Amino acid sequence: MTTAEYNECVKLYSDGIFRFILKNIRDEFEAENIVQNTFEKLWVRREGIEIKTVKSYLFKIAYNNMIDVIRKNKKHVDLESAGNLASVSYEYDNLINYVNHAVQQLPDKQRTAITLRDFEGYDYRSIGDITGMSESQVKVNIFRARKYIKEYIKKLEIMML
Amino acid sequence: MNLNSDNYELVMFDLLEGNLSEADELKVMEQIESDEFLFKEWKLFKSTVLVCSPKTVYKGKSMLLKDEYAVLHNFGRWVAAAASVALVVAFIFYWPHREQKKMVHDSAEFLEKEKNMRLNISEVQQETVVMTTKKKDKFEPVTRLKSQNNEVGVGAQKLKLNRKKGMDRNEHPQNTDIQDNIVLSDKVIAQYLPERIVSMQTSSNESSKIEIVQESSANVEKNRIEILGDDNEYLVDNESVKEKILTFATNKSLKRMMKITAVILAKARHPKLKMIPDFKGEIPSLNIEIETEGYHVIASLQPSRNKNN
Repeated sequence: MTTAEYNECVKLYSDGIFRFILKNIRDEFEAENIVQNTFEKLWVRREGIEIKTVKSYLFKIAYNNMIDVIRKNKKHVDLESAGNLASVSYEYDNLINYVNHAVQQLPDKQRTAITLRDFEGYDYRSIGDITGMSESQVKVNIFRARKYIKEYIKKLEIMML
Repeated sequence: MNLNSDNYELVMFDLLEGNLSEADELKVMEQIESDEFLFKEWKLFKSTVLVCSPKTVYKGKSMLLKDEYAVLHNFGRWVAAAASVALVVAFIFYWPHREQKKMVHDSAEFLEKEKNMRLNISEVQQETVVMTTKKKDKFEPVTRLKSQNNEVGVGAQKLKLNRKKGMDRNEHPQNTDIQDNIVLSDKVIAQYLPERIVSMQTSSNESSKIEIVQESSANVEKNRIEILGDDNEYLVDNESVKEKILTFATNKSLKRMMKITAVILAKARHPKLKMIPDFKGEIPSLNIEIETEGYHVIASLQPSRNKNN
């Protein structure tokens, strides 16, 4: 990969990686650090990377960094403990905010899978390559994530009525 | 594909993910639209699709971008190396020392030829045309002598310079106005072609004779000059050398100048060039020193010397 190709990757994928990380950890500062570390690793290893596979490579590095950060800070929330809607603030006044709040309650694998699927449009195989899961596992995780979000929104609407 | 309370979530998920065929999609959509509960569930399912905000962008993008000078830098190093080699080669080939050396070599060779040149007028008993000059670079036929070997008009065109030591210019009735700077050019020679022998006298009281023999009109361009000496005979094809030899044989002052020039050129060998920038004074300057064997030249450049600029 040449320097020009690297710069092109920065322009094309840095925003997407930042959104993906920010959606999962909800920490802008950490998300910026992860994006920076991701592209630093890409720059160091650019000689052995082809431009065709660089996007998956970048998201894989970012995902691994994100997992390390989550484990370090222990900020993730279990799905079971997220069921308590009493702590939910009612400041969310639209559907997008409901969904965003529901996404934060998802387990890491489900959240990662659904964000990669919806934000970047990856298929199950690519998501599996990035996260280290099989295609069926990816599909199950995405299904569980959507089901949880649906139920979350449904409960909120019922409570607001 | 029929929807029921057990499978509707899975079917709606596949519908949302695009995993169903077009026919199944139509069937499923018909059932969803016909059932209020399924329609509400489908509406909730559609809302689970995450939408990223385009306003969320990474602000440190410029910090990640790398300058492309790294590639140019590597390329520049190669260019610099090539330029250095080219400079060294140009220095070797075009440094004045090499040219001076060649000039000294040519001068020495020329002097040696001149030294070996022996002109003997005693052998000349040929049919000749004696020429004198009343003005510079102008020849005039005076008399005609008879050739001994009858080479006139036969054989290659030959130019014979013969010199007889001790011969006084006054011995010849027409040589009283002979000047030193006599130059025989091709035009002059061609003027008296094909069957004339030119005899002249120099300031050193030495008489020279030039015999010109024309072989044939077809070979005029391949004329040769044969200079007869005591021991050797020189055949010269080069026109410029021919002119040099003729000039040298008839011009002593030029001979001395060439000798001195050869000595000067021989001394100006192994030049050393020094470029010393001087920032000590108020006006910076660049001192250039050229030092050879016996000569030392110093030049000083002060670009900012003109205060008006």
